[in-house]
Amino acid sequence: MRIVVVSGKGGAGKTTFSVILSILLSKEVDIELIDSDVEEPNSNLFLNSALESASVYRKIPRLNSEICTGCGKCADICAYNSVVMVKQKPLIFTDLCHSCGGCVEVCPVNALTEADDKYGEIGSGTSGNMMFKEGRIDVGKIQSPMLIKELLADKSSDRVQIVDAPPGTACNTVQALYGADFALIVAEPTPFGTSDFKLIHELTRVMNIDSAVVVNKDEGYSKDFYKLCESLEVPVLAAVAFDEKLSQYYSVGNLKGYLENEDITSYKGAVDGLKSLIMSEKKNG
Amino acid sequence: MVDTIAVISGKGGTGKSSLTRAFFELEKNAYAADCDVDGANLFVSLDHDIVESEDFIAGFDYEIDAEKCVHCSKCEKLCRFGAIKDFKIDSFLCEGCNVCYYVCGSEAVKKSPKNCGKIHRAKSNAGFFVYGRLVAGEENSGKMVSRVREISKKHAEEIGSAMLIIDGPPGVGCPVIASVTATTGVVIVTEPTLSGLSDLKRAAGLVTGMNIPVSIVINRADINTEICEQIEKFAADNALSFAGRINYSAIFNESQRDRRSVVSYEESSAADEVKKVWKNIRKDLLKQEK
Ligand code: SF4
Ligand code: SF4
Ligand code: SF4
Ligand code: SF4
Repeated sequence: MRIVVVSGKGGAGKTTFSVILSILLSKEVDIELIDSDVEEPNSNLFLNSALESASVYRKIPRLNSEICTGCGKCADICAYNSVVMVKQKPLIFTDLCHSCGGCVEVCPVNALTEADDKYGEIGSGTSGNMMFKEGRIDVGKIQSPMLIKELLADKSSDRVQIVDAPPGTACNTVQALYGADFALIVAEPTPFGTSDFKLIHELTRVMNIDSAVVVNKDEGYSKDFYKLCESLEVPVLAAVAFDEKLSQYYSVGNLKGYLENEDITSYKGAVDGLKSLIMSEKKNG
Repeated sequence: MVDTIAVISGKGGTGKSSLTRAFFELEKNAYAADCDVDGANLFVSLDHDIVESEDFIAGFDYEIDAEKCVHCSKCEKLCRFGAIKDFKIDSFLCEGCNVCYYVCGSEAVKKSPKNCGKIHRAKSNAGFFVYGRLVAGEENSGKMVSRVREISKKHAEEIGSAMLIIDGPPGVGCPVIASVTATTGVVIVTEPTLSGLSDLKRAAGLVTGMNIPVSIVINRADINTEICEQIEKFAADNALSFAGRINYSAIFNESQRDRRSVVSYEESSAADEVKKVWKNIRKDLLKQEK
C-alpha cells in the first residue's frame, strides 16, 4: 500500500508530517519512507540513516557522423528540440533529451546509438525498524519526473510506503502520485496555503485518488478553510497548531527529539486515521 | 535592457512570495512576474484587475483512434514511458515524445495541441504584473515560465519599467532554470534550518553554475542563530553576497490575510528589516549601484 504526502507548495510541512507519521506508525506497522522530492531531498536530515547510494543512468543518443546521411528524420521526430539540423548534420543537445529513443529508432542507417548518462542517485538505508529510500537529481539536470518514476517503480513491497512528494502540482507531483492508494494533503490555512490546497486537491481528484487533509500551523483564523474542506468533502484527519518548539527541533534536524520530549497529541488524529486506512486496506487487499 | 531580479528559495515555504511582493512595492517603477506557475501566490494577496489573458498552449495530447488502429502493438513496444496499454494512452504517463505518432503506419495516433493553463496580465497599485496558472497535473511548467517572462519583459520595456522582479518556483528543476536564465541577479531566500541550508547549497550551485550573481537572505532568522552563522559562512566561502537576516514576525501571515504587503506595516521591525535587505540586494546585484 502506498500513501503519498503532498502539499500544493513546499513549506507547508510535508516533510515534517511524512517523517513524524512514519516514525509514529512504524511502532506498529512495517513502514518504508520514500523521499521523492528529488530536487531537494530532506527527509534523511531527520533520520540520519547511513545511505547506500546507487547512480541512476538515462539513455542519450550519440551520433556516428561518418554514417549519417543528413536525412533529418531524427530532428523531425524529436518533440523536445534536442536534435536540430545544422548544415545538414544533426546537433544533439542532451540537456533537453527525454530519452524517448525516438531518434535512434527512426534513423534509417543506424547512425545513432544510445549511451548511458548519469543524472541522479538513489540512496537507501534503514532507520530503526523503518526502511528508507530517497532520490537525488544531479543539479542542472531537468529529468526529475524520470527519476521519481524510477524511484517509485517498485510497489510490490509488503511494507506500507509513505512517500514524501515534491512540491507543486506539475509533472513531478503527478509522477509521485501515480499509483498512490491514498493522498494525505498537508495544508496551511493561510490565504496562500488555501490557494495551493485547492490546486493539489484538484489534482488528486483528477487522478482519482482518495485524499484527506492534515491542517498545519492552525492559528485559529481558519474557519473558511474548514468550510472549504467540508464543501469539497475532504475529511480533516488532524489539525496541528503552530509550535515554536517544533521549529527549533526541526531546524537542527531533530524531529525524533520532538516526538520524545514534547506533547504530540495533536498528531494522534492523523496517526489513527492512517492506521485505520491501512487496516481496512489489509483486510480488502 | 530592463534589470531582472529573480527571487527563488530552493525550499518552499520560506516566505519568498511575501518578500517578493514587498520588494515589488518598495521598488519604484517595477514590474513583476509570478513564475511559480503551479503554485502562483502573488495574485492571491494583491488586489488587481486583469488587463489581458491568453491560453497557454504547449505540447500535444495523444490519443489512439480505435477505428483506425490495427493492433500491431508497435507504438506500445516503442513507448519508453509505458503510457500505452491495450491500445489506449494513459495521459498521466505520456510525456508527449511523439514516437507513437511517428511510427504508427495506420495514422491511428491523433495529436491535438494541449491547453495547459492561462496567463494573465494584471494591474495593481504596486504596478503591472503577469502570472501564469498551470492546469493541475500539466507538464510544460518550464515552457510556461518562459512565456510568462516573455510577456512581462515585453510589456515592461514598452511602458519603461526600471526593473522586472520574478517570483520563482522552488527546487532546482526546469521551471527554476527557466526562471533564472539570463537574469541580472538572483535572490535566494532561505531559513536557518538544516534543510534550508541543504536546499540553499543546491540552488546556489545551480545559479552560480550559470554565472549569475547571487544574494542570500535568511528569513525567520531567530529560529536558529547558529545555522544563520553557518549560512553566512557558506556565503562568504563561496563569494556570494549576503543581504541580511529577517526575524520571525506574525506580520508575514497577517499581511496575507489583510491583503497588504509586509512593508506597509510602517512601525514594525519586520518592515524595517525587509527594507534594509532590499537595499542590500540592489547594491549586490545591480551594476549601476556598485
Ligand atoms: S531520445 Fe528522444 S528526446 Fe532524446 S534526442 Fe532522441 S528523439 Fe529527442
Ligand atoms: S536520422 Fe540518422 S541519418 Fe538521418 S540525420 Fe539523423 S542521424 Fe543522420
Ligand atoms: S502503432 Fe498504430 S496501429 Fe499499431 S497499435 Fe499503435 S496505434 Fe494501433
Ligand atoms: S507520445 Fe510518447 S510517451 Fe506519449 S504515448 Fe506516445 S510514445 Fe508514449
